[in-house]
Amino acid sequence: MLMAAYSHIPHPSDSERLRNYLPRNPIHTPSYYPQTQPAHNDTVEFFQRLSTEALFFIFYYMEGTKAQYLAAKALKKQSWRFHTKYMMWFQRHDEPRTITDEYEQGTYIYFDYEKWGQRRKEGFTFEYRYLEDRDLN
Amino acid sequence: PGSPSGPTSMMQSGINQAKDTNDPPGLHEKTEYLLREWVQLYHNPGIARDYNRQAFTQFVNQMSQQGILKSDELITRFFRLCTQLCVDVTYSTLKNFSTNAALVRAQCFKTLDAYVRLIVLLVKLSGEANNPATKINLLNKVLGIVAGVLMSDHDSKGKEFQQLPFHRIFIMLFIELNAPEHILEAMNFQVLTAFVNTYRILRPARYPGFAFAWLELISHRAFIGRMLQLTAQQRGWNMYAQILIDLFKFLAPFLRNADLNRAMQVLYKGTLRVLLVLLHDFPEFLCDYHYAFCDVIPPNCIQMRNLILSAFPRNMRLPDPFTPNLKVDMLTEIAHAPKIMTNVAAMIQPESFRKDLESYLKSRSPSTFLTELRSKLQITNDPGNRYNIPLMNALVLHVGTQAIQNLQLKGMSPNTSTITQTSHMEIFQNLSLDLDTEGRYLFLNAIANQLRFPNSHTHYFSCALLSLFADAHSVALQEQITRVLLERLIVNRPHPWGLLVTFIELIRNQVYKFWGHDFVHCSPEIARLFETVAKSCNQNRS
Repeated sequence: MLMAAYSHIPHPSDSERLRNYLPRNPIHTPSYYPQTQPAHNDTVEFFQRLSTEALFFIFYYMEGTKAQYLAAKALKKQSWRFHTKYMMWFQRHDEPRTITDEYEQGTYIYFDYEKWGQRRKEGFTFEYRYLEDRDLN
Repeated sequence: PGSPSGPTSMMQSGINQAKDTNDPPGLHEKTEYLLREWVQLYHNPGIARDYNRQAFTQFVNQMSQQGILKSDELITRFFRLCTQLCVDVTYSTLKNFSTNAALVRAQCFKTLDAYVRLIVLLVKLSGEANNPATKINLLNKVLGIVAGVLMSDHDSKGKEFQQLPFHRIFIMLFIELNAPEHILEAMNFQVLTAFVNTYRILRPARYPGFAFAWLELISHRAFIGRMLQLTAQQRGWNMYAQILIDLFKFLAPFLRNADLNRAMQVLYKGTLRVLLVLLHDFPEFLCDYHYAFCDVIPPNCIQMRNLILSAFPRNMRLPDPFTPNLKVDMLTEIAHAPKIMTNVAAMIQPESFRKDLESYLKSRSPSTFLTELRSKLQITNDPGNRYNIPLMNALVLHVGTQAIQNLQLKGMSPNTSTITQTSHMEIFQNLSLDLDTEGRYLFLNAIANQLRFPNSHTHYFSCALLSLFADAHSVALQEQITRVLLERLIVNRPHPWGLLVTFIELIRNQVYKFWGHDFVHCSPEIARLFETVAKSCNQNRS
């Protein structure tokens, strides 16, 4: 019975939340490739050293993980702001032309997750009610 | 919890009802329909995103329209059928798609995770908001049902049994019920108790087909964290110790005979890893329960036992055992007794034997006590199984602690001369003389199990062992003492502090004339072994 159980031993993903995009797929890699992740790769400092594109990838493809949280934190530190209606990250391209209590208007750089690249938008109105402003600590 | 209407009985009734497949007509179809609806609802991105209350309320209404919520019995049957359906889905998915393991699993998880969420929501919303009793009862019932389905599946499917659906349900349910929400935190201890009871019922000795998933469940970081760290006043410690004892008991017969097939090796390695995690993160837990663990771990499992015996309280600084002229009796710690979470005196059975022992310790009478001692410890004539090991362990520790108390009453501290000439030492001497090789081995192991971090037990038993060596009437005894110490030192680290201190004293102190013995030089291999050990002791001297 034990040997039978051994032939379908639990998989690492069995006790993890479902990963929709990047499921675990353990395979044997040669020993001269890194077998473990670098130390301290779960700190904001580490995430801040990653490219913005890597951070966007983590944000959209690793939902509900600590990595997603750290990526969001690193993006915020680099003055990106999340738009909760468009579900995209925006960064001011220059000083907004108008700033009121409800919105700001100007030129922005944003990351389009469907076309997978940065785009520029002129005369965009960022309504503050769509600004995600939770304190990530 | 033991009352007839308490959580334990809810779990038992769940287990029993899992076998009752005599459902009213149409219920199976209704359940299947509802579960499919719910799985879709759960994975609908618009609705399930923040686990929308409204969608759930709507679903509960649907359940009630279908008449599911009419009686407790129907709800129970609904859960049983859902569990069975989830299990069936897993089996057929695993069978039909053999291409991509990750995809196949993701497919199974879709149904299983949705079902888990349904359980959590129903548990949270059952009864009144601030009355956890109803919620706890429902949880126990559901856990009982899942366990019951597992049991019949395990026993009927045999080698085809799959751990996956049950593993997934239990771990996801545990994680969800330990979310940081007030309503859940208020009943967290009862939730933990419910899971511990479930895992104990499903222990590997009874359900070996579930052993790997079981080990994963009990060593999951969320579970260990809750059991040993997050629950106040160490209220989870005893429960967790019982689970580990279940694990050791399962492994014991295989380890004792060194009969390890591939599956057993993996389980053994997993167990060592759990022990390493515990040694690193919760050494005080291993310290407190070392006695109970050593009682069930076979004597030949040296490394496993060393992991447990090497644990010491984190606030303690251990002096380097290799320091020349280390004055163990000058350490303040050796006046303090370690915590022992087992009632050792109560383990000395039968009652009459314990009474005789107490009276002998006080008055050294009746004199027949010593001569009958061996027959009390020996239970069979079967070589390798002759002795009652738990009784031996209890006897040794109890006599030792009584000896320490006696000395303390007299204002004396234990050393190789104060401990002699006492009724306590007389018992030890008698055991070392009167027992056969097997018995003596177990007796000396029972002593060596107390050689740990600096404390009064370590100190006393270190002195006792050295004095048995010094006063030995036979070389055989000295050889056996050496063997017990040495075999615990030639394995890989960690090594208990008290064990090293005792061995170093034995080979360094001239009174023991250690190097003059033949058994040290009996074969070139042994001679070389001693040289290596002695060298490593002396190298550290400088």
